Amino acid sequence: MDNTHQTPASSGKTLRTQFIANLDVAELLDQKKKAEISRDLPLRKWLYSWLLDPNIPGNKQKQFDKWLGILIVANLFTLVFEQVPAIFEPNKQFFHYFDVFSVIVFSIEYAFRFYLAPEDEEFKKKRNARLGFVTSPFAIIDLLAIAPFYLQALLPVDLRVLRFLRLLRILKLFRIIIPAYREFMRLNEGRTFRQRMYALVFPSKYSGGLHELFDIFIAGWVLLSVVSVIMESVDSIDYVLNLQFVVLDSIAVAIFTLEYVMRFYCCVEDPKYQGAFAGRYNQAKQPYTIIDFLAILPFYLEVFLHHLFDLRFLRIFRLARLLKLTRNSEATTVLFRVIAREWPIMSAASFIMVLLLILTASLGYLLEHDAQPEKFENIPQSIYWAVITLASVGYGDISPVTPWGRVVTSVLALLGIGIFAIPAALLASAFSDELIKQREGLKADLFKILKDGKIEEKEIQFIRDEAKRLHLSVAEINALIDQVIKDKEIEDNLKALPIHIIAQRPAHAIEYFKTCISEIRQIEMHMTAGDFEKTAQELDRLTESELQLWRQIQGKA
Amino acid sequence: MPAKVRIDSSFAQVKISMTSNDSALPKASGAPNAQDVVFLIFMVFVVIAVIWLGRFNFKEGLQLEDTKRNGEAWVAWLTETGTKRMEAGYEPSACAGGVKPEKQAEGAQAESKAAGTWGACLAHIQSASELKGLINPFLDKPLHMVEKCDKSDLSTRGAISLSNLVSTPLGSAVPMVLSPLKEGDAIDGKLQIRVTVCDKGGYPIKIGELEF
Repeated sequence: MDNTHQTPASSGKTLRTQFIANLDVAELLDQKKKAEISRDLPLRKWLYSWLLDPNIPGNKQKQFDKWLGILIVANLFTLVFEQVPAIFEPNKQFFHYFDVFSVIVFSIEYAFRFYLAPEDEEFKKKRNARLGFVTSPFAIIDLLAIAPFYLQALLPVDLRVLRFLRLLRILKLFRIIIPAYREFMRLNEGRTFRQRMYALVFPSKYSGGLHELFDIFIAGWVLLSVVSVIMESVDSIDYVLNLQFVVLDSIAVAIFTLEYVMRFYCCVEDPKYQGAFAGRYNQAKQPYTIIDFLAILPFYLEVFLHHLFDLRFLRIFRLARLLKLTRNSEATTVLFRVIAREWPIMSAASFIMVLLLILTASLGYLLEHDAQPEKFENIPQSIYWAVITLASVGYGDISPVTPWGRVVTSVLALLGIGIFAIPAALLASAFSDELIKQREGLKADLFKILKDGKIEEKEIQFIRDEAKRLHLSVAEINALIDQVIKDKEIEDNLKALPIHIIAQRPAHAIEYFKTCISEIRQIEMHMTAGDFEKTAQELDRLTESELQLWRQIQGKA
Repeated sequence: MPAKVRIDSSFAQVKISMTSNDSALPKASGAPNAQDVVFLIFMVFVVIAVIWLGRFNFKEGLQLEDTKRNGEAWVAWLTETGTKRMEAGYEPSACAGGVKPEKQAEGAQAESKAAGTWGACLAHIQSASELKGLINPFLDKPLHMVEKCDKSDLSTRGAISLSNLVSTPLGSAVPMVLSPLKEGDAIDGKLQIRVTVCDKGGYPIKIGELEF
């Protein structure tokens, strides 16, 4: 298969029309992958190609596996809930129907695989493909998953044995895990044990599908654990399921502890965290690592110190496990970065807010204390009133009664709207700036990609990753590409012209100005953060006004 | 040397990482080396430690389940007795309804075990009923009664607390008030009782409400 998308690299206009005509961005972004399976194929081959062939991109094999995986996990849950009489007894019928439904689906799956075995690469070379399938480990697991159901219809089997056999359904997940494991081993051939562990727990080019499964596994346990914490607070549910919650929490802590230890051990494979002690210490200081630590800390504190203190309140902090999910979210990373960048301004705004709060609280105390000594008893109590007023909440439990008190409250309420809006506005604008910068960066990269007139496989992958990271739709990528081509045309045209000619037309001058700004922004993106300003200030290379202009262009001033 | 990669890398830097000379590195077998083995042993130790700690929690969970079963046994017994004790000639007479407790002289100490009081019925329950053998699983002692669960007093864990639900006069903000059932309280009439057990931290767990 040709892995490059050819585009003419000639003049701007030709490039644009040809490029848009030739390039299917939806396909590029992996959003419109439709399997090309001929309708003229024999039924068996056609069915196999649609449902089971892992080598045809865009067929239904992945969805088929995904839904089966969900059904297997649901089966595991029902098996656990069946052990709880308070849940099982009133819902016996539901559990029975769900079991029947699962067996029907798994039986159909088994029948399909049996029928389609002669089309499978693994079995077609054997003398009897179907016999080869039946004796394969996966098929034996599949059979074990449904056999107990049919067995109980024929023989009197102990319910506990049946339940144990049904537990074997979980083994069906190996159909998803083993291919991912093989891919992982192939990607990590010739790499050390620790490098492999790094590829498993951190995303990297060696990670593959097994890392995705690892993330799904951790995310699943995070959700399960958070749901159990919420359910524990409902007395009637906790009364029935307390023991199950205890077991679930212990398993979750064991898993999160192992994850934490694994990340800690292999983080030194990241060039940013090199050094056995320094690297790991730096890793320990990262917000995500702190979150991971906080997710397991309450369990250990409660186990070790519950004889000394009442640490029940710590249980609520298990909800912090939800923050573990932010590790996989690029949007959250951007948000944290923006907050860190804007911290000086936000802290200044917060300082003004606190100042205003204390001043008005003191004024409130001064003006209202005599009239309402029980409500404005002291300044701390007045601070509560000031916060409720400034934040426009206005519970009404404490309100001024004196004319001057009301005047102060009116002013405070009006100021509150503005003061509380400042940090929000700052964040929103900084977030928007960050997105613009990142899109500018992508534009610059697209510019480079288009420059040679062809898009290579790794460039496609890059566009795909960036589109995913920046949450860009096909239409937005198309618009960016369009913009890039337009900029290229303008740049090509303008660069050929001397400055005094460009200056004759305001529209050209503006486009030229925009090109210059875009290029200046790109300089910052290709440099280590802060290097430019540091060098400029250290060696007095730029005047204060030039530095200010640089900051303005970078959206920092 | 591995290529330098930044998280927010531009395409140029991604290119650097892609062209990094990984193949120049010596091939590893992927088997754990001595350092990895130490780490794996540590991992096994961590798993064992968490299982061991989890076992403690599980054990306490089981003790709590036993405590709840004790409470449920009390609810079942009191409910059953409550349906019959108003009948004439009900046995055991210590818990029978309609028996007025003897009036005490003013200022005298109330006779807690006098007929017609909760004290007499409790004495019968703890000595002759099927509830007499119940064990407090947290303290491994015979089940004892407390006025209320107290998180600052760990001797209350696993204990049982009975409260009398008393209706308030019409128009009150709350329809019922709870008061601990004391040994001197009369049980000649119907009582609304709430059965509560204390968990491992001395927090109350409501088992049920019944008419006695």
